[in-house]
Amino acid sequence: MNALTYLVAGLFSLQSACSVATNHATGAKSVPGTVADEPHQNQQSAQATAVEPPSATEETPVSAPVAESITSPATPPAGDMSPTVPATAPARAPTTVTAPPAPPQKAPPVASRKPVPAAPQKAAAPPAVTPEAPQSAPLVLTVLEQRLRDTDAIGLFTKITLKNQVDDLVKRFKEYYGGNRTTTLPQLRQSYDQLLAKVHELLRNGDPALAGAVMNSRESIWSVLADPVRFAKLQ
Amino acid sequence: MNIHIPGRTAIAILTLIFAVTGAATAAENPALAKDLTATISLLGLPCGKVVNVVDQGKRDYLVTCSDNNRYRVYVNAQGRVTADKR
Repeated sequence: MNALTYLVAGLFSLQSACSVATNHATGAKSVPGTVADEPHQNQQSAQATAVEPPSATEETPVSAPVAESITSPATPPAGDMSPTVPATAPARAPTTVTAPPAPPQKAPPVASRKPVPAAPQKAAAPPAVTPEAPQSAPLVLTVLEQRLRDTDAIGLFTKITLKNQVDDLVKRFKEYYGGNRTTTLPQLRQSYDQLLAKVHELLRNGDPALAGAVMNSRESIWSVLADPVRFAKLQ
Repeated sequence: MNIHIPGRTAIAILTLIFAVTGAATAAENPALAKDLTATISLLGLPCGKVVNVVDQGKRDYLVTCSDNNRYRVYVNAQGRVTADKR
């Protein structure tokens, strides 16, 4: 008897739920709090999760090509080397760096549920971030120095030797700006390029990100060295 | 029971122990060998690869290269890395 009662009650509630859901689907307003609202809310929450991941997936194509240069803005600029770099640029870059690991896990269900909103965001995002990448690529001299100190790609003797050679080059610049014109600026540029090539060669295998950052910072650093006023501020 | 070891033999044993503990092939300490190889290369000296390293003190090594060149590589009092050919 009890089982029959439950069965009848269950059928009745199922029927009422179906009728309300049908009304909702055809445009009829349902009463808030009824059973029919729950599927709708679930649908909304599904959309929310569907919208969220595209923002992550939008970063995937952006971060991939800029991966090497993005490592440079991970550290805040000290200010003496790249005055043209906006302060917001380094802050935005790390998010694009840390984002890539997550999207591949969330992306598949998103694409199957809500493919339409994902497409326009993907198309809109890359142009907004890509122009910042070349600006944020150069490293500040002090940051570069610290990263060279910290890297495990080169040993202690190599680091000391590099420091000696950097000091020698800076000394030659001092002499040049001090009135000793036996050295020309093109000669200093050649020495500078050779030194950076050595650093790049040493880092290329052990710390490719730093090696790339060094090369990306080449012109930025040179612009300081070649400018007597900015060079004087370094001392 | 006393064991008598002649003076010359004792010195020879001590030298051998020191040589064994102080010397290291590149295979035993590849990071140091790589570091010293890069250092000698940066200094513009011929070497090839460092194949043997003898620790002579703090930041002071006697290095044998694959092309048979030998250098004393050390940090001098001025803080500069120096390689003297041996």
